[in-house]
Amino acid sequence: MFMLKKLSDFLKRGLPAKSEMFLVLSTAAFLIFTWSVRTLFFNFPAFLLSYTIGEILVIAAYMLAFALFETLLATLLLIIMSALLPGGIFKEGFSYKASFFLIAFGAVSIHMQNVMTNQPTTDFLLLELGRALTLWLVPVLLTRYVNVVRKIVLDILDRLIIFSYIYLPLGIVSLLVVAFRLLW
Amino acid sequence: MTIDSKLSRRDFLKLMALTPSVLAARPLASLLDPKTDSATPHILFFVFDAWSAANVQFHGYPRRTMPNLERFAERCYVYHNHYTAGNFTVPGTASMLTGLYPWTHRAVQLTAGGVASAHQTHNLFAALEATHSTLGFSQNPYADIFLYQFEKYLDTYLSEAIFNLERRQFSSLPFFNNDAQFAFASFENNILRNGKGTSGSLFLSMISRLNKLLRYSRFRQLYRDVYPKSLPTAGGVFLLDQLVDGMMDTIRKFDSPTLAYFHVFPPHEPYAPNRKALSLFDDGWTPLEKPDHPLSQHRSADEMLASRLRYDQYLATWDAEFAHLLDELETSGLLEKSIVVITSDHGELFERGETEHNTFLLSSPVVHVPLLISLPGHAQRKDIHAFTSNVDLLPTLANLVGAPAPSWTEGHLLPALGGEEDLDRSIYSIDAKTASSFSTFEKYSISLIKQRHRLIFYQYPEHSGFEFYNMDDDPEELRDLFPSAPSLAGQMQQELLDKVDEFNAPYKKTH
Repeated sequence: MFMLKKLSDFLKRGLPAKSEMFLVLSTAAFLIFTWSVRTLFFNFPAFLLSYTIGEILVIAAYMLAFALFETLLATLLLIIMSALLPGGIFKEGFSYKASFFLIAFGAVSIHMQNVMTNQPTTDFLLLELGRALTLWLVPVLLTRYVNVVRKIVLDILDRLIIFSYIYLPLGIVSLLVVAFRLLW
Repeated sequence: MTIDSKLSRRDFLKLMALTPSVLAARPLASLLDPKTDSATPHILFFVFDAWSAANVQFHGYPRRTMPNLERFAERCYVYHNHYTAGNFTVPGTASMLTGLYPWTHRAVQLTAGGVASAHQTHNLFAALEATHSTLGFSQNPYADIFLYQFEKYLDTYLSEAIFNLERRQFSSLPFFNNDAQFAFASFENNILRNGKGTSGSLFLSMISRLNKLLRYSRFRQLYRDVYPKSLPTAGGVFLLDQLVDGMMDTIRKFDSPTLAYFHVFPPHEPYAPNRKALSLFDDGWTPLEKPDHPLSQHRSADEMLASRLRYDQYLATWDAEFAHLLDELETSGLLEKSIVVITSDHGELFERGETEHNTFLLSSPVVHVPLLISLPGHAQRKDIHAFTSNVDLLPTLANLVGAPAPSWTEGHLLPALGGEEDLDRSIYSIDAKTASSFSTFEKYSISLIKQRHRLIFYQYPEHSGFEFYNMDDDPEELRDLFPSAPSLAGQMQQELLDKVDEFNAPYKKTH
């Protein structure tokens, strides 16, 4: 009982506000689903050569279901980071800090997907990590200390919520399609 | 009149009295099933991926790359002019398994699309299901897609990673068994691609790729003494000896006549010769110089030479390992109870500015593959120089085990195994990897063999034209006779263009 209370207190102290968590979920959905849909459209002409429209829709269902899984996982990891790290690093201003974190590491991931060979050196990986941290830190500091930037950033994040109303249901429907195919 | 369906106690006792006789009759009933007939031979069908006849000494190569297989060939039907219908795994394997040319089965791109739905019932496993239990295994994921497609004809399906050190493919998790073809098309081809280029997953693809590289690096450290250059890798890292042991263990368990299709990755790149083979072929030998092809990637001579050397060394490594399986088949007596087929889905190229088989070219080394067939009770080598196609394997195997020849196959019976050499027969190879399965082939390479001559036609915006070779006088395809316009070239040109019109006709839009 004592342990449960302790855990509950810890979560209350460490977890960001629900509204902020939802903003981050929306940003994650926007980035991850948009990238997935972009890849789908990029591959679409090649798919048309060997798959029927029905088969392409099945592949799309797999991609969107996976995007849903990735979105939830990314958001959950950021929430856990917020709970574990000192409040000043992530919890305060969680919505924009976590969102910039996703944007920075997403950008570096895309860059690495294109340039990384099958024998990456440690120097290369450290450089990419440095790039990601810089890409994260600069906008975070600007948002933290420049009011105009802060207002614009929070306004944009607020508007990204619309994507979660589109992408998340799409992900859920796709997940049901995949589950149906795997179970029956 | 009504029939009382209730079982009385007396009826039940009568039925019980029959039980011992039913049990006694069971072995008698099984005698009527050809699948349990001990006289029916197993069919052990081994496909070495990307294995070119051009690099094997018993087909005329100066380097002795495969001495053990050469020894095995002494008891085989050796087909010296065997051609695949495609120049990479997808069309080559599909043609071998369906007995159909690529323009019919339509599996022509490097995707998991598979054969057209109309031909999913047309395959080797379906043709022999009445006489044999069937087993399918492919280390190459792009050949595995056909096993997914033909799954209902497979009694046993072995996952591509079953003999590997690691399971690298997300789609081969048992969770996806019900939908393996689309799981592969979605994950390996899109969401979590294992190589340079964008993947559908923004974050997890990169984490997954880094994890794979880390695991590979650990395996490299672990097996550096055996494989100093690189490790054998297909869907995941594997060791050649474990692959051979795994196949042998599988074969030992056969308790009824079985058709077993083993599509192994070696000698496909990455070439991974072991330490012992790395010292081989330091002989200063250089192949005949051939001009760069306009459609080639213009690799340098040094690059082609180095790549060829590594391929030859990997062939020698694979040969030494596979010899253990052949020896065991012999000592266990299984060889005398089996039809053994050893061939490839396509060849490999180290000439004309091209390496490996990711090419539009149809030069012989990329479509000319070895074919060895060993039969029970046949211990003498028989060399067959007639030109044959890999669409011939399906009808020939059916014929050998007394199964009815499928009406849908486009292949012929192989000479010496039910068929005869026909100089006028037309044998095709085609590459249409940029074409659509659902429309006419507009950009393609196609070759026609007839009367021991070979006509190749390239139809691309970058290069279009014919090449014509006399395969008896010029097997290296060095002297293009097309410019001198021999009459046979003209006839074959017309026949080839008619064939293109014929297979494109059903897909032409009518206005």
